[in-house]
Amino acid sequence: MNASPTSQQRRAARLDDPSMESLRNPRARRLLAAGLLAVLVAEGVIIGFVALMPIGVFVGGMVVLSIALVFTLGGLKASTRGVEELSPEVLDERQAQIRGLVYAQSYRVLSVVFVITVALMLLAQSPWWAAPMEVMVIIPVISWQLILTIPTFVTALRMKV
Amino acid sequence: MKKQVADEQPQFYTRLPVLRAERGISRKELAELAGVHYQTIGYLERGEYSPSLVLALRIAAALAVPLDAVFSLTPFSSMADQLYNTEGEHR
Repeated sequence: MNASPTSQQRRAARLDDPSMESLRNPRARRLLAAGLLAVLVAEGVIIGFVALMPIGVFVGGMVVLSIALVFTLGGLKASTRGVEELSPEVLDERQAQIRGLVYAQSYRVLSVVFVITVALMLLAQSPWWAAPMEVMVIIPVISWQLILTIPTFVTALRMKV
Repeated sequence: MKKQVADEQPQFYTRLPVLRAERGISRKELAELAGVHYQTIGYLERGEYSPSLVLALRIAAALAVPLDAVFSLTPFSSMADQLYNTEGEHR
């Protein structure tokens, strides 16, 4: 009797879909990573100019950017076969080894991003930079999304997967 | 015959591509027998990944040969040389 696949096994199969093979090369990974960064920058810009635009334009822009984020992040994860997010139970020994390297490198990158975020937040509240309210929203929102996607960026740009 | 190179030092040699081709099995089939992703077989064949002892044993078992027929710390002599020399000995 075959046990039904776990959610991790289904996720692994989806991320290993052969139809996504065209994304599994360094050039496609670099383009997807650049696309994802562009989406994050665009989010920052839209939040930054929220006071200058009608609410409908802001909401519509955020919806479009959210969809773009899902597609670029999904494409990037498919390009890495999701080794950075899957549990070791569904990875083979080489993939598990890569996962370990990814987390070690991501930890270092994350530390830098965290320090920069805290520094920017403190700077924005300092009397030398009368930062508008939007900046206090942009910094944590973009940093948070960046921190969540660091392992995917590291896998796509630094690992042979 | 491929060799794994790290810091210019060969780590191991493998006959995996030859043995797999000889048996007419695909990377995917061998991967299923060894319980790994098919991409890992490619990395092994290109000498870009050093397998664990368990994986090396599983691969040897899947190919029905001893472990030292697949992986070695010293270079393998070519199959043609081995066949030629063996035939020469029998004459």
